[in-house]
Amino acid sequence: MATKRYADEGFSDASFPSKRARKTGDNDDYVDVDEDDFDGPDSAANNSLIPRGATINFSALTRKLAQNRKPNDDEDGPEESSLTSHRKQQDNLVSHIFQDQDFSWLHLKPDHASRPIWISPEDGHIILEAFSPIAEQAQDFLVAISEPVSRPAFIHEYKLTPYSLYAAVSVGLQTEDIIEVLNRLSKVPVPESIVTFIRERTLSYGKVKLVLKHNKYYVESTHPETLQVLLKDKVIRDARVHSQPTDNSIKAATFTTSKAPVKGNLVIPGTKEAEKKKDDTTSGKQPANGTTDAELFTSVVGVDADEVDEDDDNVHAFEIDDAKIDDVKKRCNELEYPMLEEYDFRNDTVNANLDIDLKPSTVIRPYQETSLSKMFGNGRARSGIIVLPCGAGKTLVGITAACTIKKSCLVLCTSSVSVMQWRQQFIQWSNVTDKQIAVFTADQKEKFAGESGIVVSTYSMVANTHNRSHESKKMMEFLTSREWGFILLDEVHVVPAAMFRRVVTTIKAHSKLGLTATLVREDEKITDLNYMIGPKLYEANWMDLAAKGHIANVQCAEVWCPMTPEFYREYLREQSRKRMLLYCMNPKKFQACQFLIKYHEDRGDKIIVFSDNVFALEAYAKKLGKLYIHGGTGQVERMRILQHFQHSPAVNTIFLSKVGDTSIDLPEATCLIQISSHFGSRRQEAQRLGRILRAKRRNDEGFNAFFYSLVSKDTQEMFYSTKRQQFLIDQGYAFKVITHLDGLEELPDLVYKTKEEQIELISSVLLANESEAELGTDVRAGEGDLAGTITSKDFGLPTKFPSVHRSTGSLAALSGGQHMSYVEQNKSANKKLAREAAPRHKLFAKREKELQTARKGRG
Amino acid sequence: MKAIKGVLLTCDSAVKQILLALNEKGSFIIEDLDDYHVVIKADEEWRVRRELEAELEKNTYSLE
Amino acid sequence: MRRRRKGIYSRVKDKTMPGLQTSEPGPSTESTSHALLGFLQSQSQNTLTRLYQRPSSCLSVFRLLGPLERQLVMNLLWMDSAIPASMMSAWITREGRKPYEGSLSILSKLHILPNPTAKLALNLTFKTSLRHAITGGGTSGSFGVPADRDSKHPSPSIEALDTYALERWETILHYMVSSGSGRYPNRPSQGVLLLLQRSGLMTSVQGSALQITSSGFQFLLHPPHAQLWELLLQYLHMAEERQMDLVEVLSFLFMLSTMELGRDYSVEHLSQTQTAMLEDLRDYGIIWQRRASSRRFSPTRLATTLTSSAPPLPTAGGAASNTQGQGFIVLETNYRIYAYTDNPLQIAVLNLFITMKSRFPNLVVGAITRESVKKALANGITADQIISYLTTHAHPQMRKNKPLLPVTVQDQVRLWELEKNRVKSQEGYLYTAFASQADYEYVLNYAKQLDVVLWESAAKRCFFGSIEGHANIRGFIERRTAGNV
Repeated sequence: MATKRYADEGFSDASFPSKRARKTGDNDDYVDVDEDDFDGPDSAANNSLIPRGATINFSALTRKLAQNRKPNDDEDGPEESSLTSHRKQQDNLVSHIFQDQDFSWLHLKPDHASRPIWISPEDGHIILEAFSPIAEQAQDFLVAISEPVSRPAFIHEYKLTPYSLYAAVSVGLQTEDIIEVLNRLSKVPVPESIVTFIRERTLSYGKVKLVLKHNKYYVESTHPETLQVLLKDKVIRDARVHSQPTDNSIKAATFTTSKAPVKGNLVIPGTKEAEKKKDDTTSGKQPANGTTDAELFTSVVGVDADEVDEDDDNVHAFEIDDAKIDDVKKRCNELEYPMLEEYDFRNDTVNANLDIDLKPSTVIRPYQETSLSKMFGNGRARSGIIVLPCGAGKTLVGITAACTIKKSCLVLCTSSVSVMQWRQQFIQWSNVTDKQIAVFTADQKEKFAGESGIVVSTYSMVANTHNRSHESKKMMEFLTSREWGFILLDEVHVVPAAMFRRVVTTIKAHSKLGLTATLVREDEKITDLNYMIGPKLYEANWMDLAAKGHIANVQCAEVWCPMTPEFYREYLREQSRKRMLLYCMNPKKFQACQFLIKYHEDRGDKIIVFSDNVFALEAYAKKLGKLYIHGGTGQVERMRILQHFQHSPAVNTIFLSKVGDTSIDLPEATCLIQISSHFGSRRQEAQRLGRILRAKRRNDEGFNAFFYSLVSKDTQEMFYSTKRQQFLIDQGYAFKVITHLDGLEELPDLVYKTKEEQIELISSVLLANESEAELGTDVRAGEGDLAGTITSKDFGLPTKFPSVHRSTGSLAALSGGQHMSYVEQNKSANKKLAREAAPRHKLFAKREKELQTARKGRG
Repeated sequence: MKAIKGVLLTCDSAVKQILLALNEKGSFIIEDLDDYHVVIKADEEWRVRRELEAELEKNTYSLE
Repeated sequence: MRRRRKGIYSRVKDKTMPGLQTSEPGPSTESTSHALLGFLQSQSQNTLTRLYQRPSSCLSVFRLLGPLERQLVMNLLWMDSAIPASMMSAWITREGRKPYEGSLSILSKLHILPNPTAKLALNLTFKTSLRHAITGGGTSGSFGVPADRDSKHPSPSIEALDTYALERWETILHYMVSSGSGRYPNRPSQGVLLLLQRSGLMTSVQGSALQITSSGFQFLLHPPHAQLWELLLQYLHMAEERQMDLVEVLSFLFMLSTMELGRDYSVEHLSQTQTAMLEDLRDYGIIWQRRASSRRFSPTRLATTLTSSAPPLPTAGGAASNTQGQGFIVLETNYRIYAYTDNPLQIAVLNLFITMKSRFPNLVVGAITRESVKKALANGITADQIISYLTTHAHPQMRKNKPLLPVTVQDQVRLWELEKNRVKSQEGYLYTAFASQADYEYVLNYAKQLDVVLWESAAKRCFFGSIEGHANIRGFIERRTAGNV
């Protein structure tokens, strides 16, 4: 055996320069945070060379520098122990795995264990230990400065982006505070690349505000030098209004200077603070455990988190001509100084106040309060977007914001159904009177009485420019002729950008609030939203809300349904869109659906079955004898079915098409089954899950809601299903794969049990038109509604809807008399229900009565 | 009596259907035995497996 | 073929979701007996009795035994006379019967309890030696002879020994894991390479450089103690071939396992065989010597823990290597993996089944992906091994979870494994076109006797037989045809 080892291998360290630089020499733990480092106006011009939205791409330079620094260290240091050199040698063997993502050269701070985050120098990824004692405070901070990427149980990931920093600045965080707090939270010093990135971004973002004060527009900034820069631009200079005589000071221009706004005595209604004020008790301290956490945070981080929010510098401003607002905004964007919009509503004496408040019984939840505090942090209303999961009470956030601003308010939503729901919620939560709130839809065009009020409408009603009726035109004149204190934009993620632009430019509003459940990153629209509404002010953590009982706990499962050989053979042969019909109509899926409905009905659940495909929807609902609603279902029938589902113990399952994705609110539902969905849309998946998050029973002990996706095995559906789940998985949801439903074969009356029945089913599928495979064919834009609210693609091609109900039974009947019973079974349960007399939905009945009274009054 | 050399493939019914579909494009099946068994030409096994893999791969979504 | 996917779904009814599969707990390695015991059981009574002459060997074997066997040995150790088997079995409860009999069988095969069916008494040699080991009697030097103090060369510190052992051991594993990656790690000694090759952990195709095999990949996921013994077992097999005295080899290993860490021992009292072993043991990192010619040696932690449950590799040293002892892996429901480690070897092992994303000084980030698992499966690593590795090394935070690892991820890894096995192929012959039902049945019966029928159908009057049976079946038919003529 050889005694010579290691020596003759010829692979010395030198040939593999190590990327590790454990000791970065005198470059100690902490990044120098030099106040004087502020680059001043001149460098701003240079910075504008960097394209907006450039992603962080840490130049390999810095890393190389770190590497080069290393050999010096080695020379300085004593002879390396053999273990060290052994490790180093081994290190070279694994380093290549990570390519440019090997940051092991970063220097770990000595007390890293008590700090919860790592920061990637390459792309601004932040990794957070969610089990750290100060994780909660760290999350508050991180969600303000970065985009949440994934938030499961133990380790969360965030990412710094230009937009997230824009948002951070807009809620009042300062460059140096961001860097300082990051550095204190971080196990490794904030990489220089990241410090530079933050400086660069925050330098240009949020330094300038557009403020409407005493009905005059001001460009405002805490940095006079920034205003100087802007004024060098001709467009902006020309837009400036010289309201006061220029004195002969050294500076070329002087600005009106005032104290920066602070939240001061502004109280958001419905909050604890408001409660306290009402009770007139002395300023009670935070609950004990709250304080200890906060103290712990402060002791590690060293900055009182609250302090960060407030800036107490003086602000400087110059007035600009309102006629040139658009030019100035555009120019500022080009100069990389996008203007934040804030509304100093408390000092707006021109627009009449709207005397509304939350009802005394209305209390908002802590996270709703947090999100609103981002909006009203400095006593003004900041424009932006709040992201809360479905069921977490977005509407109440909007209403509370309206009650805080107390000015005329325009609410825009996606459909006339939502319009009614918003109106109803306003009345439920606030003391707004009937006269103060009006709706503008295809059916109703109302104005509020008095100087101020609320109008609820849809995007389409406001954005459509052609084919307006006379009444609509008059209504639009009403909307465009006045100044709105506040515009509330519901479900912002579904609105096409062009429509948005029209809304935002035609309606003059001082502040804008966008609401959405899912700002899924597949949307390129986020960019537009950032500039048209404002930055994302807050994004809730789903798992956290579920843990605290604000939304329901949900068990998610993907049920694999094998294709029967006959169906699979046809599937493989079929190249057209009918493939989709084949995997939707898979007899095994029918059976799984039947089994799950039975199982959950027996447990006492209320079940919604979703199918984007209308052909499948009808076939399933009829075969299983359940009620269903799709785009072709009339309003009266729709309401009757929903009411039965809500109140009748005999109706525990309904089938919904895409129309149920948004705008139908069913808090009774506790179980959801998907049999067909819109390809790989992560947003639809999240939205569907949202249908059961607000389950009424969510606070019952041990309560779980259930979310099933039925997928046909070995088909494209598997691909889409995995893709759809990604967003929810990153929110911490886990999809369990069920390959076998126990007891399914023993189910009495199992459908399509025999080969004959299955073959009959397939022949009906094969006879169907290819167009039947389309998804969402029933979703058609009614006047004033957004079409196909899931994607911007308009599914609302004119189809036969509303038309005669297609019935799979008819084919069976044609093929022979022996299947009479089969036809009988497939009779629509809807029709049966229609025969029973049922009162109209309360909301609509009431509304109708009101309208009649109003008409009488006017007439 | 005949003895035909070949490879017995044992599979689930979905794979069986894919095999039948592949066979229509280029014949390799010697005998279709039942829902779960088929005998194919021995020298075609590698190609068949590769094509089968490609077909199944279409249905998987990868994160990366 | 009806596929019963064991372990993926079970028929246990979940209280909340219908027919949910519950994951099986990871394969329990605890209850299986030590790998060496199997080897000892295969040895002759003569060899074992010679081995049992040394107290250190008896103590070591005793330590390797299972709890029940140990208890039986202790019960009998101080008995001067045998006790009837019936008397002992009267103590055994009905449920205890099976394990009890199992233990007796193991002890009997090890010749510790000869002939346990009639009466129970320990092998006399074993009894004497074990008594010596416990009471400290005996002068055989079977526990090693400490070397005299050497003022010029003080014995190495425990830390230095640990470093040395770690370096040697990791060099071996790293060599394995890096093979074929285009990277060139330090190469272990020829002796080690031969051992790796002979044990089937690595292989050389037509004289090319050594490549890791699928059992090599599996080996990498095993805990260090098991890895060490896997190699030593192979060493024992090779010792037999090299006609080394097995008793000398075994007793030296046992001697090492009872030595004290941080102490020097003299080579003077070693047999020739044992002296020859020193070089190999140095290569494995089991002992340390200043020079090959040195007259003294120091056992490392790898040696002194050979027969104990203490961790064989140091648990302190490097910035994050304290994670070696406890768990360091966080696995999330979104398939992300966060491993608290700065150890390149651990990273390289994780890289076998994880898609790596980024690395920080004390953390690596990756994800379990279909691709990464498929790669691992292709290398011969099983889903169970992946799950068991992740379970063994789960971060303390994960212990809050019940079950430890996210069930959805475990299921998915197993499902990916099943995906791989959707088609089974067997070469053979299809026998068809029989002239009559009788002919068919006659040949089929013959084939069944040979146990080569893979598929049959009376309706189609044909069957498929494996390739192995063809020559016989053909002969059978020819004889029958000839007979008919």
